Amino acid sequence: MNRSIVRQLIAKDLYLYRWLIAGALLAGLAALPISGREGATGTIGLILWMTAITALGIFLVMYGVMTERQSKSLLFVLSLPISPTQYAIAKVAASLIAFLIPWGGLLATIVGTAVAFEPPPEGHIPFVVALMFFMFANFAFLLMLLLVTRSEYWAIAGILGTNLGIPAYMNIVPRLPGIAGNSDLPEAVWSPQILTTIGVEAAVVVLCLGLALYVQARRKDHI
Amino acid sequence: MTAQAQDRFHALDAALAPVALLANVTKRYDKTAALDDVTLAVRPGELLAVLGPNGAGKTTAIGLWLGLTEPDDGIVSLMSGSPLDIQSRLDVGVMMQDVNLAPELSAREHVALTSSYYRDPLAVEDTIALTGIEALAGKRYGKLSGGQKRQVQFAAAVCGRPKLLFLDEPTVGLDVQARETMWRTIRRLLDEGCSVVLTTHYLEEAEALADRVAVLAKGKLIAEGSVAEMRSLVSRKRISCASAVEVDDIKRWPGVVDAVRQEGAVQVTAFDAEGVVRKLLAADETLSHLEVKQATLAEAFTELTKEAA
Repeated sequence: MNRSIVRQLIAKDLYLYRWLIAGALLAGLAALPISGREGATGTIGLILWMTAITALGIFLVMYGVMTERQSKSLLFVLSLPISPTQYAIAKVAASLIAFLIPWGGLLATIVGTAVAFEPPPEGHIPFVVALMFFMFANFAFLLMLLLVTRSEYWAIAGILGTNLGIPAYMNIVPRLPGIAGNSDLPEAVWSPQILTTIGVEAAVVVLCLGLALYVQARRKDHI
Repeated sequence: MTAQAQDRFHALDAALAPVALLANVTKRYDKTAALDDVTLAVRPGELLAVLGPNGAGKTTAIGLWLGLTEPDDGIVSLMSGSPLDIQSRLDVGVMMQDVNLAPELSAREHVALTSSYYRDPLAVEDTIALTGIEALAGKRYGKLSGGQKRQVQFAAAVCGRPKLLFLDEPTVGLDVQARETMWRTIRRLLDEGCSVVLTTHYLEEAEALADRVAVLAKGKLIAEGSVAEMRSLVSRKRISCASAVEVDDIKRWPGVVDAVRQEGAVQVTAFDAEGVVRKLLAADETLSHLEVKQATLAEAFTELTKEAA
């Protein structure tokens, strides 16, 4: 495997995504202080913050995978001395990096801010981490769906499904035994239930990315 | 045979081996055969024009050669190896139809990026000069016109010093000057030993550039040969002369396909050119400026594909 080719492909994608990454990070950071307020303003801030991450994931897969296929630039790339495996690794890696920079930045900011507060309002940290992993899993699922199915209809269905999943998640998970009420505590409680939730989400990420790589690298027909 | 002779034989064999080959290839999409038992070879240093109406199988053939799809039956080789092998594609340049590259990058960045995938590419500025895109180099790809985008794609196709170049409808949307520049570059690459596979709907382009022509229709190879051989496959000829004979009368003669009067001259298309010329001379003693031409490639193509339909 020629690693320099993979690195070049990743660098090219990250260069193309640079404004998207910066925009999502800035929008998320701008929404964080608003989401910390009481009442409707706080809700709007929370929605803006989640929209920044969700929209980033959608744009990355639609622009990076679907548009590349529809504009046939994928055919051009695969006609170069680049193997489907190299392309698949580069595409998944570039998408992951582009998603994880704002995702990681926002998560670190939330956790860092909560820890720095006195008295510490740290009880919500486990749920926020679980929610962030849920959005990461949503992104990984969408990426897998588009790379595997190559279908616009499946993409739309996937986007609708994952978006509807977020409010459902926010309604169901905080009420689960072992998680319920913990967000109001001053200390973070890493109960087995919240750790299991995060573990399942991480497993979904690994599974989706693995499947995306496996199918894309073995695809025989790109026309 | 001595070892030296054997070496020479192998060297000669390698030199004559096709750079791209489809051997008895069949490719189906659902139940439709995009290619049906097609055998087609590209020889070193030649320009093979692949002609055919829409849906004839041209793009499928190129897709097979580039490893973008696999045949249901038959053998495909590229640079004496598998099209799926990266080594085979290191010597290949490609300009595909209807491709859109990243609009945010400049033409120069596209050439530089594509060059970086090859082991011994031309310098970026040399590629830009070779393909005459100096004026476009700094512009964003998304801001270019359709013809200008094709010129940048052509630059990306030749930047890796290809030994085999695939050009799928390369001059669509180009102005006359840009087309001339592209033709000149293609001829230069051919002079340097590059082989070219060209698909085009512009038959004068094939006539001007091709060493050999292959005509596909409904997934089958219906004719193959030099431009002259293709034209000779079609028995109709064009007769031009200055004559007072009425074209309506000529149309009724046996062997005449069509007759028109254009700018004072009579233009006759006929299967039996010799017989028609004899009748014309007999009918008009004052006949002058007589010319008999073989069918153009365009006429040959039309007739061949009509027969296959």
